[in-house]
Amino acid sequence: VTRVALDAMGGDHGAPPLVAGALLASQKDVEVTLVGDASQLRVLVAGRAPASLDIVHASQVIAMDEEPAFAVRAKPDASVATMIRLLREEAVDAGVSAGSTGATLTAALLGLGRIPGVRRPAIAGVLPVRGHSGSEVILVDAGGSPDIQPRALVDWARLGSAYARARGVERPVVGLLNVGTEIAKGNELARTGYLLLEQWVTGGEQSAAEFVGNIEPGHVLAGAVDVVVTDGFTGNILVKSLEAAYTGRVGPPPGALVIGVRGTVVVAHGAAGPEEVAAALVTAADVADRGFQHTGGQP
Amino acid sequence: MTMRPGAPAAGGGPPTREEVQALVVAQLAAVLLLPPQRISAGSHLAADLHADSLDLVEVVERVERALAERGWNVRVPEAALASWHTVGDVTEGTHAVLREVAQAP
Repeated sequence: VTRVALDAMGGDHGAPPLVAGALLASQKDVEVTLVGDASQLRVLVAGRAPASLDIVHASQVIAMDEEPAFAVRAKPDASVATMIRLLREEAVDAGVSAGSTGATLTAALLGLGRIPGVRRPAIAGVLPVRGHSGSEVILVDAGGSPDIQPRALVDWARLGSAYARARGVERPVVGLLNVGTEIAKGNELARTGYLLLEQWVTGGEQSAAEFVGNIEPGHVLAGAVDVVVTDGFTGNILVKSLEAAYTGRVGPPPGALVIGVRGTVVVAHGAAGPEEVAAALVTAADVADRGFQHTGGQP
Repeated sequence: MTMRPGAPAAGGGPPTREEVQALVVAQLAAVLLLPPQRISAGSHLAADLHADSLDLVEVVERVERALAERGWNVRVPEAALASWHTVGDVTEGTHAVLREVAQAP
C-alpha cells in the first residue's frame, strides 16, 4: 500500500474538506499522513480515522497571498514544507497539496531537487479530453510558472512526453499552444519555442515523441495531440476555461503532477472538495507506484 | 575555546568578497543553466538573466550550503533578498552577513 502525505492546511476552505478527502482516499487503498496543526486535525478525524491514518504536526501555514519563494524559505515548519520533508526522508511515497501552487512548486524544488538539465519544474495537468492516442491530454505548464524562457518549453515537452508514456502512450504527439498553426504565429516565446521544439525532435527524440507544431485550443479539444506545452499563465487560463465548461460533465479533476523534481508531488485545486482531494491522493499514489518520478522522468 | 556562532572551529577570516562572488556566479550558472562567463556583478537578475524569486532563493540556499561546507553557517534574511536586483547585490549582501558572523563576539 502506498503512503501519501497531505498538506492538510492548504486550500481555500481550510482543513475540513482536505481531511474528508483523506478519509475517502483511505477507503481506496491509499494510506494517508495528514500534515498540519495536529490538535485541529485530531478533532476533525475523531472517531472516523482508519488505523492507517497518521498525523504529523506542522506549526506554520503558507497563505495563498504570500510570495511563495520567500514564504517557503521563511517558514521551514510550514505544512507544505513538512510534507516535502517527509517525502525527502522517504517516510511517505508521495505528497499532495491544495495550497499555493507556487509554494508547493518551490518547496518541492528546494526540498527534493531538480532532475538534471531541467531549468524550471512545471505543473503537468491532465485535461478532461481524449488526445491523439485516446488517453487524456497532458498540459504543461498548468500554472506553475507564468513567465518563462523558450527553452523551458523543450524541457516541458520532454517531461510531459515521459509522463504520457508512463500513462501508456507509446509515442506521444506534442503540440505547442498558439493562436494559429503557422510557424510565424504568436509572440516571441511561441515563435522561438517552435524552433527549439523542432530541434528537440530532430535532435534525437523522434522515437520518443512527435512534434506537430502549433496548435489552437480547438485542436486540443479535438484530440490532435497527447501533450500540449505552453507557459503557466496561458496554461492556467486553458485549465480554468475547461473546468468551467466541463463542470458536472466529468469526474473530479485528478490533480496535477509537479514534473522536473525528484519525487512525486501532486497539486489539487485550491477550492477542492473531498472527492477532488481523494482523486489527487489516488493520482499521487498511482504515479508513485509507477516509479515515474524516481526514474527522473527520462525516456 | 569558545567558538564564534557560525564561524569555523579552525578560525581564520571569512571568505573574501571575490570568493563569495565566485560562489554566487557558480551557483547562478548551475541554477539558470547559463555559462558562467555570461554572468557578471552588474548583471540584472531579472532583465539580464531572467531569474525570478524562486531562482534567487535556490541560488542563495546553494551559496549558504557551500559556505557551510567551509565552516561558515550563515543565513541571509528574507527581507534582504527582496531588495536584491543584481548579481552584485547578492554578493555584497551575502558578504555583509558573513562579516557580521565573523565579527560576532
